[in-house]
Amino acid sequence: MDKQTDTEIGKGLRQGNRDAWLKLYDLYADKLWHNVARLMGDDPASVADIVQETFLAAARSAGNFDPRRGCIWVWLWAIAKRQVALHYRKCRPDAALAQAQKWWTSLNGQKDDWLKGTEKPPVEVLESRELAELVRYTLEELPAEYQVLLMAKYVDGAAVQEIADQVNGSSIAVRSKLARARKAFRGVFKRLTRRAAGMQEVAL
Amino acid sequence: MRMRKNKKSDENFTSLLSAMDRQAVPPDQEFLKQLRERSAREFASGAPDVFVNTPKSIHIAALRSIIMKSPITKLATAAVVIIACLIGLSVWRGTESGIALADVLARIEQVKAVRYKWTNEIAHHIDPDKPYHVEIRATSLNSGEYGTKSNQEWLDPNGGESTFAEEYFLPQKKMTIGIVPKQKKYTRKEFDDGWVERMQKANPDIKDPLAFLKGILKYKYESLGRSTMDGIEVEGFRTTDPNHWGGKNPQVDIKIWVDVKTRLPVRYDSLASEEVNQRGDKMRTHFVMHDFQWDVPVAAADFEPIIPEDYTGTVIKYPAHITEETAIQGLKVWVELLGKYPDPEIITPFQVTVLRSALETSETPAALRLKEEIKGLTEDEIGNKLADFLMPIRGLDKFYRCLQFDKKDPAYYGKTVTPKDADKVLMRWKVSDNEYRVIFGDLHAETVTPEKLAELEAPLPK
Repeated sequence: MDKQTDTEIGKGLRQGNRDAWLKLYDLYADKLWHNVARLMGDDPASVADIVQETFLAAARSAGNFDPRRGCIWVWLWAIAKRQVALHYRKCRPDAALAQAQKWWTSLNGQKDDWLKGTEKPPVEVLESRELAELVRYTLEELPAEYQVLLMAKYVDGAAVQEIADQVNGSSIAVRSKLARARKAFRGVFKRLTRRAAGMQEVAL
Repeated sequence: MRMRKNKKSDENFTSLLSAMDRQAVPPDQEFLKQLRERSAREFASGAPDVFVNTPKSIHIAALRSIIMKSPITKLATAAVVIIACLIGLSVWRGTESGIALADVLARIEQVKAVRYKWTNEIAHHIDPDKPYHVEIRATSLNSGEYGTKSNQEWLDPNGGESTFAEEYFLPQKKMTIGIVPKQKKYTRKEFDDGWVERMQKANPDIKDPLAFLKGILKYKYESLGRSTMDGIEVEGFRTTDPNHWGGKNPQVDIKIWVDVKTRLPVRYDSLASEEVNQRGDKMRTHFVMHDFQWDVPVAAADFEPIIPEDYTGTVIKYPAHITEETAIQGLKVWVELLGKYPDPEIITPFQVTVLRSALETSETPAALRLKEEIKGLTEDEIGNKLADFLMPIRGLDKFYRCLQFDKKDPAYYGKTVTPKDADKVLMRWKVSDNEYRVIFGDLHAETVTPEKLAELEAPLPK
């Protein structure tokens, strides 16, 4: 979505215009569901719950949306992130993470290179449930903006310019933030997996 | 070369992150379609949030505030609803028919527990673009020994999903508890030893049955004669005396039907309206109690709230003594947060949502600090953090409300008086026929004569 559409919707929201809300909803409902579903895995009830809570919370605070503070999608996703974080804290079984951490520790291979992207992990690793779990936990700990960028670029396959348009930023800024987001991702992933191995946390 | 390397790196990173995409469930389009309408209604209603600070619970809190603000509609709150039977009865004195209402009151006093249903509809057109209408259906169980439990259903005026809530009023435990199962939320309010006394003060009609009996002698009534209701022979009574309510320009039409045999109420029906602002806008309330089951057996377990472990909530502890000093502290916190005193309409009833809205634009050091502290917290965490911080403000709300209920002629001039106005009246109330207590703009307090007060208030807007 471009900046002008964002501005128009933002203006409509502040005026209490129902059509503005519906436009926002139509633009982002599927996208929000997809991203929440990625973080929640095979748990449709929780996905629906979080999507619902996110939109209802957004509807209540939409009148105060200020486009100067960021684009609508990042604002909406920040609300969703809080709901996801709450769910993780309350409902995610620690056992699943512990099992994934143990699995990662037991793997052989150039794991650092996998995380840096210089080497591709074997197919059986990429297709494992444990890796999906670790990626989810890692992403969940990142700031909303990094989540948005990483999912847009590496899961949706969007081009940098496309992402820049979505978040009302420049492509240079997006590239720079993506680099920081990847670094943050690696850091959190390593911290999560090292914790399991009983190793001390080491900054990347 | 570098570009190729970057592309490869991107591809590998894509493979890694895409791992989580495999189990992701696709959108449920039917669900999203329903949510589209529901969220649009939520948006259009400009709904404030449920009990204290959770998204949906704030909605109910706002409604409750409206109810509590009105001497007419306060009847609807679960905490006092059974007492409303007494209030309802209180509008009749004497009778030329076969039933003496004094006997009815005496019978009610003997009852240990009662279960009944009630409905309450509230409507107003304060905002012509957003007509307001809410309907609550509930079943309450009231015990003189244990307190009150109420299961409420808040109907969506647009035909959408209802919100269900459980409320407990537990005098022995000195607390009230509100639970919203769908949201897995609860709010617990804890009070000190003087709480019951203060509740009685806030609802003077329930203070003392004897005082109440004396009070009913002031009002007029008429007999509706005998009839049959649900197969029971009843005698009806009606009052339209507006004095009973004490609201602003109220219009009331209240009827009660009493079982001729048992001398106990069968149905209570109150239709009332009162002005809620200076424009003369009216709020209409229709409150009905019915299906009474008198003297039902109860046990302590009936009044034990069950809060599952995965529910999150807010605990609010009220100060031990709400005094003038509490009010001054409340005003101080307000001014620190907003840089000015709050407008009269927001000091009571106090709502967290209103404060948070006001904070949005405030840049005082205290406001910036608070905003920074709650940044990134969940709604529950914010609620719990604000619970303690905002207690003086809640105390101010309670203090002012008690002054209103006690008819101590309170007035508040926060719209025009600033913290620099050491000689201007910010708040005042009557302490005796010859004395008023005054809190000035700089928050010092003095006792003055009515003449001196008139002099001080002369330059202030009426």
